[in-house]
Amino acid sequence: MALRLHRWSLGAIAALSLLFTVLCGWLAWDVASTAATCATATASARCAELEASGTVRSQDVVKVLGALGFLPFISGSVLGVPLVAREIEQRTASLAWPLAGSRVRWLARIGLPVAVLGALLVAIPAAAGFVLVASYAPGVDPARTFEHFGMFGPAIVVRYVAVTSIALFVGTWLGRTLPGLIVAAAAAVVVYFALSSTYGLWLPAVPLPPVEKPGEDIGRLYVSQMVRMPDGRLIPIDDALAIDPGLDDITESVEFGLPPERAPEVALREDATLVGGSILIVVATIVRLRRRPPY
Amino acid sequence: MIHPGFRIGLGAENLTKSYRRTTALSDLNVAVSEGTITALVGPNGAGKSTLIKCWLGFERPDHGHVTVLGLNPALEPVAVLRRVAYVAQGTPLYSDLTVNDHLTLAHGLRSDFDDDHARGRIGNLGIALDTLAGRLSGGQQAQVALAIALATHPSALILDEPLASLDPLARREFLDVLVESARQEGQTVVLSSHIVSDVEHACDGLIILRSGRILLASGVIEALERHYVAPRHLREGREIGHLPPLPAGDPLSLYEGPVTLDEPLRRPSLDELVLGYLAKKPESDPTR
Repeated sequence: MALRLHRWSLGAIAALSLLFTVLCGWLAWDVASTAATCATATASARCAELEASGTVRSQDVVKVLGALGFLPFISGSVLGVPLVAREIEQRTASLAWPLAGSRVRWLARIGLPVAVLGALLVAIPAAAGFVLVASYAPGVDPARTFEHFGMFGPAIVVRYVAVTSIALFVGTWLGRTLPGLIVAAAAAVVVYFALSSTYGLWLPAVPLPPVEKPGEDIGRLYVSQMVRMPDGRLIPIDDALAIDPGLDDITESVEFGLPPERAPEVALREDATLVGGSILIVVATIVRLRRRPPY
Repeated sequence: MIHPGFRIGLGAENLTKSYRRTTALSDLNVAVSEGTITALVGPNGAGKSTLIKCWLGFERPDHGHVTVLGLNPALEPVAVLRRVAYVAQGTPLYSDLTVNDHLTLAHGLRSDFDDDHARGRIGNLGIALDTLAGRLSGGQQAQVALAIALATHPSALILDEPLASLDPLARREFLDVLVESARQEGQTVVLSSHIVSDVEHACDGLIILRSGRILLASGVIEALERHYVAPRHLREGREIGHLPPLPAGDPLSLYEGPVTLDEPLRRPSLDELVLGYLAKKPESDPTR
């Protein structure tokens, strides 16, 4: 019954999920089939592109994965806000909450199935994105790369959980769906950019070995560039430019960042933080839910 | 308004509740006997809904406390709601779910929900289970909400203006179902309403509220026996010919304009009683 109550939201998420799954699957198939074709015949423009850059359709892949990266933020907001807010807005909370007795019980009965189904719907294109990355960058383990970090695989689901909990809290607090969606969307944008711009800070950056051949740097995370001064000191390039605008005395440039194999550690730390934060937000939601009147 | 030998079903002691600068309930004391049906009447803003919300634990008193079947809803809201059913103002239902869906939902939310009981009541009223709630008439929606509430077999039932949007026939049917169930199961019922004439035949008790204060709390029969309708000039003590002996009770000056000497004093209707109290100027409120 919970799923029937939220069938329109779930239907919208299911449609988005299907769209992204089809797009990722189709692109993955196209990239893989191009690679297979070019292994035997290299006469086409696509094969030339593959030969030159090591992959094909990179623009399309970037667009699709970029859009997929927004899916948890959209899904979490659309599903999380109305769970409580719509009940209050339409005054059905006055029917359901006294009937359930405990509001935590009501939330578990109504909210949990919706949130779990939402997670499953988001997990499908997330997995398709994983397959796409595997096809797009052969030889790169999608679980061990910073390439399109957070835009496919388990990160999508964890981010969905975090945004859903925020949206649930906002909806419970405001008790209004549309204002709740606006506030939750704003919060989701903040979280998105916070995650996108800070995941390089989860682990201390280390000097990365110089790139010897094309493609060797795929999956690395670049955090900063340092230069070695004549006295042997490593300083940030901006500081070096201030000292020596022409960089004439620079002997060596060193890229700092994280190698691809550190990606699982970063992902784990980000996931643990998001899940822990989500639990705290859900607890705060329950506290608010138990105290607020159903109108 | 506790009848001798009865226990308190719902009560309030020194209850005060304010919303910012507006005092909704002011030092209110009231007790409703267990197993009785009580009408809570008063104009808009009288504090009826606030009192109901305090009983349900939706609002916390600023001062004083309320009791429901011996429990404090502010401290034990879940325990109270296990024993109390509530029909909210406007009887909200999920407009895009069928009646059958509502029963399934209720059963999912509450393991002791008596599905057969609800289906039986709804079936008796000729309401099809596969009808969307949004397509039911106001009276049918109220009946479905009441059937859901009654199927929890509550010890107490609180209804907030359930009759407001119903036509006279639907109001009568609703009250008939309510009274039948309450009498059969010995439920304590509090029913807030604007429509006094409708609740007259249904209720044992009457609470009249205005501006967050109780003007009258009494059994209906006792209240009617204690009051009579007196022309204003009699109440004011002016000598106009021969005055008939005044019966015991509280005089209500419900008449305006010329009154003939031979006009008999009589018992008021419940409507007149309530209107008489509500027409009194605040300074003459007995509770002040």
